[in-house]
Amino acid sequence: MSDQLAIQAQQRRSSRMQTIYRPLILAALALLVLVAGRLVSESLPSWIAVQTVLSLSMFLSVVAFGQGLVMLTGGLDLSVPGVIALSASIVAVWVSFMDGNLFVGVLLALGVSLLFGIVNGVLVSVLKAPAFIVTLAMGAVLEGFSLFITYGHKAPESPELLVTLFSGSGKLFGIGIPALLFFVVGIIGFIIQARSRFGRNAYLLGSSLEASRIAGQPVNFIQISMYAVSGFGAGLAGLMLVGFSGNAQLSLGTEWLMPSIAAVLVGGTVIGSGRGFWQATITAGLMLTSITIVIQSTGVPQGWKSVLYGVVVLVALLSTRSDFGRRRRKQISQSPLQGNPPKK
Amino acid sequence: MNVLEVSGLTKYYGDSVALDNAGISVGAGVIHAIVGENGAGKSTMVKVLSGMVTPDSGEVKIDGTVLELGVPKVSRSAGVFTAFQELSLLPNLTVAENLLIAELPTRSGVVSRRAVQGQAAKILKEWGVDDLDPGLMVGQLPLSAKQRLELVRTLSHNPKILILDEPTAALPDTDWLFRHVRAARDRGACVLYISHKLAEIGQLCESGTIMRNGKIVGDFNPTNFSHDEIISSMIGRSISMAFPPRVTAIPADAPILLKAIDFEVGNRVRGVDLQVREGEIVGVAGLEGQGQRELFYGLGGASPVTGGIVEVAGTATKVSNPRKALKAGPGIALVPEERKREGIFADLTSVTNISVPALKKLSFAGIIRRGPERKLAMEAGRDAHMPEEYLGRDVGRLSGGNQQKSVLARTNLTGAKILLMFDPTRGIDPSAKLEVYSTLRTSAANGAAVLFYSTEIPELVGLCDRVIVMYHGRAVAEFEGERITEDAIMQAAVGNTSSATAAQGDKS
Repeated sequence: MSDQLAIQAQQRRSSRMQTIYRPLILAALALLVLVAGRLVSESLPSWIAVQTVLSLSMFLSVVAFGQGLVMLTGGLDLSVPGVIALSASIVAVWVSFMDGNLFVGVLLALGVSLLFGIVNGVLVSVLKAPAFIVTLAMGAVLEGFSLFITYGHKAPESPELLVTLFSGSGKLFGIGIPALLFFVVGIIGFIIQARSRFGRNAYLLGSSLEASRIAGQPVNFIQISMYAVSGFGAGLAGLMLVGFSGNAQLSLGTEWLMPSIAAVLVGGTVIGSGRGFWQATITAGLMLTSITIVIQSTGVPQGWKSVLYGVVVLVALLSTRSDFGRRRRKQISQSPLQGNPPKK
Repeated sequence: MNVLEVSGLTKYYGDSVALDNAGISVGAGVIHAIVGENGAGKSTMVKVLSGMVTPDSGEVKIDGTVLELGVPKVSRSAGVFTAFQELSLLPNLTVAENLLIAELPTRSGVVSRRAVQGQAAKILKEWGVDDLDPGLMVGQLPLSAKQRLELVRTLSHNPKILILDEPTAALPDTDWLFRHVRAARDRGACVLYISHKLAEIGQLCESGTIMRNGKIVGDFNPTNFSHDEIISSMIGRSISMAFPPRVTAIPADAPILLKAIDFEVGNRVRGVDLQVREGEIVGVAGLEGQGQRELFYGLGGASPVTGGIVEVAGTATKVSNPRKALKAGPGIALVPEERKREGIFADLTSVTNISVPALKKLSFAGIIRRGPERKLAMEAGRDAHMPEEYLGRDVGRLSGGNQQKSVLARTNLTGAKILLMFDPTRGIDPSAKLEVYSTLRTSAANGAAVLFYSTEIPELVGLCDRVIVMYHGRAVAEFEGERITEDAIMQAAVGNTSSATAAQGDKS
């Protein structure tokens, strides 16, 4: 009987490891990185740096949410930069060149992003095309569209409201709005991924597509909806970034693809597995963003910064991966749960 | 001393034992038969000898030398060549490339297409298969041609130890094979011949071994034996299980919940008629690959149906996917064959595994209410005899039996009254089996119509109200009540229908 209790305790420990300790460790690491930033820059750590990390992580989280769901179900969304650029271009062109209503522009941009997300999903789930290629190609197409609608103009100015909301100039309780939104995004994401039927469907599909199908789950619909959310999230991020950066450049989205995938993976999500937690994804995002901030504060040339960042991401990935891989395997092979409960 | 000496082979797959201290000894110039039920360990033994599987313990000696196990190359260089039951050809290569894959003729490192084709044509001619074009893709060949190619490839190495695993499953002319097998024996090869077809064994083999549950249970003399004796040893008399008692006979006016007429799935199920009444457990028997899987998957919407009519509670219904099947009339639920891949969600907890069909009901504004979810899963788990302390654990870490119970609990929660149980007791421990039987019987007593396939014939005999036997995609025999016996089922399953009195195929 004490065995049973020990097993239960072990199981609880390992699940807490994933849901509570891992996010805490990642958040602590993020803070530690900022403090250690002192070594490279006098201006670190600072309240402003913390706010910047939170703001940038918020944008990252909005992208990484859909990305994480898609990856959970065994796919990958590489069209993120294209969707961000298109959404940004749509709203900026609509408002500053066509004098359209901002609200309509926002709906338009989000609607188009959602639509292309759905197209990605249909191509992957119904036509069984590899997600990697489909979304990569879709990204190229969308960047082309963005170029099209902004063609011949200088980068369009951002709508003022978006600038106020997302550039950090607007404040609530003395804290920049994007930094506050980080927590809002965190909570909403948690509710959807961990507590909703929608999130549950993603876990089920990721854990086993065949079992989902035989259990009567609408697998195509589920898979498409994950890509739709990813498209919608990228579109939303596009709107925010228009406000954040002050104008709509085509390159707006490019720097968010790798961090979105890295945050999901460093957070411990295993592609196509039904294994992964939102709270770990966003805290991994915090850590990666802190690292970016610190690297940006160094005086090294831009090329080296890029190299440095890439290497750091690789190391972060490999260290979490191999560690967890080993522990898991060991647990499985030694797990007393493999056998049957002693019958008395 | 014999050419082939195998001793003490033991191999576990998880909880289930595939080989249990098995040993055989065969001399040169002998054709030796190995018989046994599905899952008796024959194929595992073949795989050990060919180096495809490393046993947990045991030893293989060839000509007195101990063979390093688990390395295919070592087995081949020791002269062991195998024609596998599931065939080992590469579908995207040509006939010629498949034949010569081990030693493709090259010119300065580059494979010469013409030389490959030429050599292959020569080999095919030598073995009397000159009607096969060496340039064809193997994937496009009919099964019979593939089987022949597999055999030619194996024979052409002039093996010292020739292993043939169900070589005639798809082969139309056995004479061709027998001629070459006898020739191999005459030049001193040791031949292991594995087959379900006892008539062939009587024609070809000189000695034989019977396997059951991974053990060697006896030898027999193929030239002089009674089919009944062998079949009895194969299925074993010692197995006595406590099956839940059958309810009184199913009333003739009990509604027919599931009826299939001239049901077809590709070329694997070729016109099967069956019906299952409320409260009835109908067994399906058959050797491996006679269309049982396709029958179940077709009825459950998991494989595309190509012909026939399915009536669910009297209404003709098209079951194009499992979701529609679940929603059809009283509902059709499938418990699939491959538990790990198709049955469970290994990374998720038992609660999550069980609650899937009830998620909609359990949600409020799209959010799953966790308390009621746990409670519901606990109740469903209890009905399926699942220990409560496992509910919070990842299903992938539980034993096969408990995994299956989580699948059954989920199936019960669907509320479906037509249950298609494909080998639900495969690879689970005996006590879990008993609990599965009792779950099935309870479901039937509560008004479900159960179609139940098992590779273990005693289970069918012990549990079912009626048993249908499949052979080559058809239902060739049907037994009811007292007439359900292991012998009768086995005879019908090997295609020996003369003893099967009620041949359903004749009715249609």
